[in-house]
Amino acid sequence: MTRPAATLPADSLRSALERALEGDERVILLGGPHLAELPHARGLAARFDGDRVIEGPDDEAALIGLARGLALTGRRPVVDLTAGDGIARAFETLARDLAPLRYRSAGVFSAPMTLLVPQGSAPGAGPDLGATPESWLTTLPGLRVVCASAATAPGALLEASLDGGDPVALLLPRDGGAPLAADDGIALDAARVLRSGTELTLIAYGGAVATALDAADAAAPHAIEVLDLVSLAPIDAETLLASVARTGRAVVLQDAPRSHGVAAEVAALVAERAIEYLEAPVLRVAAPDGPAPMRLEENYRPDVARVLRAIEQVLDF
Amino acid sequence: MSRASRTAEDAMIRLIDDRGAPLFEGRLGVSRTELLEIHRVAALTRALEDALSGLAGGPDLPWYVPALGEDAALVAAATALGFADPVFSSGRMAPRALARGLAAATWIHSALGTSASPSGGREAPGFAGHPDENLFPASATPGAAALSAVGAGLARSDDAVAVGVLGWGSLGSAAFAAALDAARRTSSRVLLVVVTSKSRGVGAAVAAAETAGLSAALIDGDDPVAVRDAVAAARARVREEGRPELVELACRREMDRGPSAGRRRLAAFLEREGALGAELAAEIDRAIRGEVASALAAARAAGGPGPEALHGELRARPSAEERRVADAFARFGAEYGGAADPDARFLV
Repeated sequence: MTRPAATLPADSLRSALERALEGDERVILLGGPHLAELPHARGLAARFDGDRVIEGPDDEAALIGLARGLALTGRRPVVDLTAGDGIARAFETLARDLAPLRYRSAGVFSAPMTLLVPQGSAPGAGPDLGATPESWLTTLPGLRVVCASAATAPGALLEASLDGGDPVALLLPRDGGAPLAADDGIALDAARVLRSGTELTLIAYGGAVATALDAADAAAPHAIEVLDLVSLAPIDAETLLASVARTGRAVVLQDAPRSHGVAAEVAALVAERAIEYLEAPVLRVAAPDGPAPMRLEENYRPDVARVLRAIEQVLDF
Repeated sequence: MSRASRTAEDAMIRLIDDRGAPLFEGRLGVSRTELLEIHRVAALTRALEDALSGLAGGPDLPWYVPALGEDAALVAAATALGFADPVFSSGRMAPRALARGLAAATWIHSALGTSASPSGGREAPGFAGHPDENLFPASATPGAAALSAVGAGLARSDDAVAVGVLGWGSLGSAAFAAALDAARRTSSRVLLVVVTSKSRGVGAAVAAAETAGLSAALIDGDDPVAVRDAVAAARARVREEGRPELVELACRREMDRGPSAGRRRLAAFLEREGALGAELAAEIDRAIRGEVASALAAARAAGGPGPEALHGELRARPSAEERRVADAFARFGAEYGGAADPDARFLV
């Protein structure tokens, strides 16, 4: 089954942004100079005044720095970083000034905000727009990192993030697959079992969730369980380990280079805490260790055929 | 010194000269009592920071960055602000903290990271924020304090002006340039105070601000009377007119431990005005010595934090896994992850 390519799921995000701006005067949408032109922000600048929807500099580090001041003085900024791919520019202020703030101050200060960050490869995105920042962001203690997927709408995650008191990087897959049924009441830190199975757990996040669901369909009659991690930092170890304990086998997908990534952390957790349940090694299906090439993105990303080969290897071990 | 910087120095606003003689006519907008307090807090800052600098590099304090040469300017600037003004800093916060009434003992606990420090020993020396004084944690990222202040100024409070206090090291940063641009474009209600060094040339902050379209003023930072006056006036304009401003305070940054040029000049002015005699100066000095000695003794008695301070406060809502680790650590301490801790298997 082939899913149509999709861009950032704008409808879910726009509705959630509108509800948040309506329902909480502390919420401020802050983005670059073209914020109002983005599909998920369209009409919001006209609907709310210039103090609630703010077009700031075209610089991710500057936007996060501005949001830190807003958050520390009681606002709940949503920082839109989707127009570019410059989260790397913001790393210093993220790592020093934002993520560790609550810990450094022993809980006295915190700067709750939601960062909307593009993630993953997509046809035509290439090496500049193909960044997979989750491997960087998940190393920052204090920053929550969550990822939308075809099954986990970004709007639901945005609402959950605004309800908490932490800085949250909400990753928005550039190619997340066609959205599935609408979902409500998603917890920010809970993995979701999207499909039950008894023989093997496919673990994925972001754009790879749609691939995992397709692969599980294609692997029938094998009973494959599909888990959407949703939260990449912290990982919901309980749900993950319970699933692997049930099935005894695990394959981890990520639309990101293979080494030092979320899949490696998942494999380490399973090895430490559930090895007695394992019938086979944990395999990773990921992109090669290199940037996303401009013209070979379909080969770069994990696809159904590669996932099926991994499933076969693990089931036959 | 370059020709350009000599020209800029000539343009600095002063209200008293190097010998404390007034260069103004009429009444000052600040009382002699307030100026005396600026003198006292600047002296207290220097005494505290001299004590901390003496400990730096030793077992109690890895490092410490004092406000050498800037103490009087920074205290004078702090007293010109409203107490509700949120202040964001790039470091050297002691003058602001003490000017806003933070106890010397609290500053020492904080700098040494004792068990009684506000952060429980987690924060870098002198970087902790103090919520009761509206002082937010300092940022070592060059220029980041300016951005945070501009962001806070977007709240457009009727009662407060957001303030960013930065050093010359921030001037070349992309963050500082972005902050100036964002301040102008958003009409943030922010006042940026930049301390520069006379030995490195002055006027760069003013030039950057004016290029970005902000109003800016260059003040002789070694003249605390002019600093107090200029910062108060700039703050009032920001509040009333709703547009950002920058004030550059050019200081002589001496690296010895004597009184700063600003404090010497202020003392000379107060002596001329009959507000500070030898007896009062000695009394202030005695009180400060006592306060610092007592604060140091209290910090030494408190000691460092225990291992129980390692966990917790990472997130508003910790995950089940994080709670499990913290609980195990709290219950088993040094035996954490060991045989006595059956629930903490593989947590070593």
